[in-house]
Amino acid sequence: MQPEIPKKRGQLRDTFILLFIVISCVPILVLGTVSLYSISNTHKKNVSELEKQTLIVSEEIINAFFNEIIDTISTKFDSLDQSNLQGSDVNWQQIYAEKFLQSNSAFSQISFVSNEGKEVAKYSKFSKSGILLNVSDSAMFKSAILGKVTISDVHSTLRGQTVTVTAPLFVDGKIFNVVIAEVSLTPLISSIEKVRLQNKGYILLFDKNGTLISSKNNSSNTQHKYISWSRLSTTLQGASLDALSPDDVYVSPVTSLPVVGSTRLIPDINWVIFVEWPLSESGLLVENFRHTILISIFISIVAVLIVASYFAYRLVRPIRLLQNATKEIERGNFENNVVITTNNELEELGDSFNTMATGLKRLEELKNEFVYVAAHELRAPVTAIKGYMELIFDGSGGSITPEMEHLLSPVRKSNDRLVNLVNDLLKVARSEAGKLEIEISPADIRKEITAIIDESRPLALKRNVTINYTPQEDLPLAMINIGSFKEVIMNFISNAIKYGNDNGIINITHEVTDGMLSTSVSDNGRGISEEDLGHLFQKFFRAPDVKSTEIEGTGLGLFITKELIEKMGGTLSVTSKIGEGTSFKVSFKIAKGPIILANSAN
Amino acid sequence: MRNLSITFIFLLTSLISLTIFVGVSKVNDVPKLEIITPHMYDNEERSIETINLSIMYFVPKDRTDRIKDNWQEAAIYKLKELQDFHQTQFRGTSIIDYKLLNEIVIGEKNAKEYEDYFGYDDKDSLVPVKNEITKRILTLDGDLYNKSISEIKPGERKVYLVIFEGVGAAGNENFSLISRSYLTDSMHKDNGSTFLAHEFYHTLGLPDNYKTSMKVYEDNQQEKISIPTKLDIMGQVNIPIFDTYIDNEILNKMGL
Repeated sequence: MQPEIPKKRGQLRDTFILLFIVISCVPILVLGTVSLYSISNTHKKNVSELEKQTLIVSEEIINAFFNEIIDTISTKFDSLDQSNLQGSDVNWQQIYAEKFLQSNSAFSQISFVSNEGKEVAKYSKFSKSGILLNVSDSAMFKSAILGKVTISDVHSTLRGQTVTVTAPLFVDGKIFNVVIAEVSLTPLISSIEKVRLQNKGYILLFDKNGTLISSKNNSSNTQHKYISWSRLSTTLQGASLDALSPDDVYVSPVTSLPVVGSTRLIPDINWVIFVEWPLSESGLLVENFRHTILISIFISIVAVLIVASYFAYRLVRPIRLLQNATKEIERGNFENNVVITTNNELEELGDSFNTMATGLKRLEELKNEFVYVAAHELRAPVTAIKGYMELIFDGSGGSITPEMEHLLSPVRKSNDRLVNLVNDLLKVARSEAGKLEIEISPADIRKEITAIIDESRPLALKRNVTINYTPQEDLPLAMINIGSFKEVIMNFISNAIKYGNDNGIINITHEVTDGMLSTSVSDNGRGISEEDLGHLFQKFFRAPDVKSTEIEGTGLGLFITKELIEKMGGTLSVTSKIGEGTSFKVSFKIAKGPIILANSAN
Repeated sequence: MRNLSITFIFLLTSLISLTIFVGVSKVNDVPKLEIITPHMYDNEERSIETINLSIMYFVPKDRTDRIKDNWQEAAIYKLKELQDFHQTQFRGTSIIDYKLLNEIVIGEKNAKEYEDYFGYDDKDSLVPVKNEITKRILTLDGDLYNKSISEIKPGERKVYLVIFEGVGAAGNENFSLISRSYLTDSMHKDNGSTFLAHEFYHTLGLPDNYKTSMKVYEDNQQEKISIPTKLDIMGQVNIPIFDTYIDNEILNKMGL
């Protein structure tokens, strides 16, 4: 029969689980952290690179746009004679103005200005050419006449955003005219707005004043002064932002989307390109990886916990089996075999344990047999000696002198002790061999107790001990064996007299609870220590303080008492306090049947 | 048991930290940017978020035969272009509400008495027209007093546009004047709105972006010419309103 495994956790199991968790989970967590960081950093770099490429493409588009504009209007005439041009009747500037306008859809107006600052030709796409102006005082003319190409700030007109581009016109290497072109940014904006980073990434364009260059320039989001945005102002000062810094992830004030962004300055025109990639797209791939890694970590840790618990259980179980079996052997139960099937040293230990248990069992049997045989063989001679001693003291062999009595009394007492010891040993041997058969039946214990008290009176009188017994009139019958019960009560009373004080008091009381009839025998004697209480019912145990006295005893009385009580199906308990006394309580099942009232209580 | 509990708490904390902090980019909030608060040119204390524009057709008493019945329709057309232009320039931060005085105002004087002033500086050019309108329309006991034209709501910029039956264009303080011909004549089909807008913006304090000069011909004839310093609406007016703009330097001084 497999012993039951206790449910209490032990330290070895916890230690094993802890070690297993630490050894397994720490690397998982470390690897997981490293993976997450690596993925995040790699992703950041990839995003930065993609955004950089997008910025480069956008810059190329913008530069190509303006290069084409400037190349057109700063045409260099090498083959024309300057003096001929000045004297010509043909307004060739008007012709070229028209040609330039038609060469690029971005032009909305072209005018040619003389070196004195007077417009000499003007051609407009949307209206009649208008009055020729004197622009000699405009900053752009003054710059162009010195040979510089200038691009103005971005203007917002009802047709869209425009710039004014002013460039010198060279003939034979000298500035002959200045060309002023009104350039619509609509084609450029359209090209830029088509630039996409994957599906959702987009470009924003700002001029040096913070004007957003966009087809949606009138939307509510343009009511902010973007020049106050630190990312824009920083870039205008020459610093490009590359989407690698934590500040590069932000909510865009233009689109209100959470984005990762980069910036770049176009130095020639001082425009700033922003690329913003919404996190809902840019972070999607890395988010999927993150979720996968986190889920894997979580599952791994859960698996580690389950496996650790299982292996800890498997490790500790054989030890628990052995522990329990040891306790059974301590109780004298040699029947339980330990079954360990771990196929290792623990299994060998279990087999060895079982062999040892078998040996111990055999030893116990031999011991019991020896005790029984010895007691049995000793019984006849010591009983005979007792009998003859009785005859001698009765005077059957003639009168004995005081000297003879003095010499024979110790022999008689010693033999009486030997008879008691042999009888007790026989009872113990029979009990342990399973030969102690006790039949129980309903009985009135008051009668038996009263009889025992009467038997004990001589002993009690010797020490002037008072025995108090006043049982209840309606005391039920108990399921007992009368002989064994009397032996039990006699043992309690005689111990109380023997180990009590002179003039002591013994109280015998009853209690009925939960179908059990209890009898308590209490004295006000020397008491028993708590340490000794644990050994009180062991064979041959006598308290150390009693051993040193002249009080006689075999140390088997309470062991036999306990055996008898248990054989009758009863229970036994003891409470005691040093110097205050001891109380033994024995309980038996109440017999089912009518209550018989006592005739006399004493 | 205690050690196991501590270990479990450690594992849980680690998992939560991994999920929340490791490899997660913190999204910085929307940056707080300055909001455009439009105001009069170079005068931050006078807001132009709402501009209340009252328009009246002013006809000198000797020009009643030139009255154009369709003046309102023409004016409304040009005013809508002005509103669109203004919306574009100020990015929707300033709006123009206009109201037309239905009754035509017949001046107390002849045309010359008004037009003679138009050649003066801006400060003086509108004096007779402005004084008469103020006396008759904007004052409680004026013979043409109009409460809705004259009332000024708190916080709004109140300006007046006089469509004058005659030659002239001017603007200063809160009065501007433009010849009716700019609104109705076909020769001003392309630039009538531009003229109207140019004079209107003077009431918001915008300066001209041109200077005048005298051109002397060989025969000593002199001609007053304008030389634009900037090519925006305050520098040149002979272009369609669709193709013009307000210069960034001016917008900068108006809060943009």
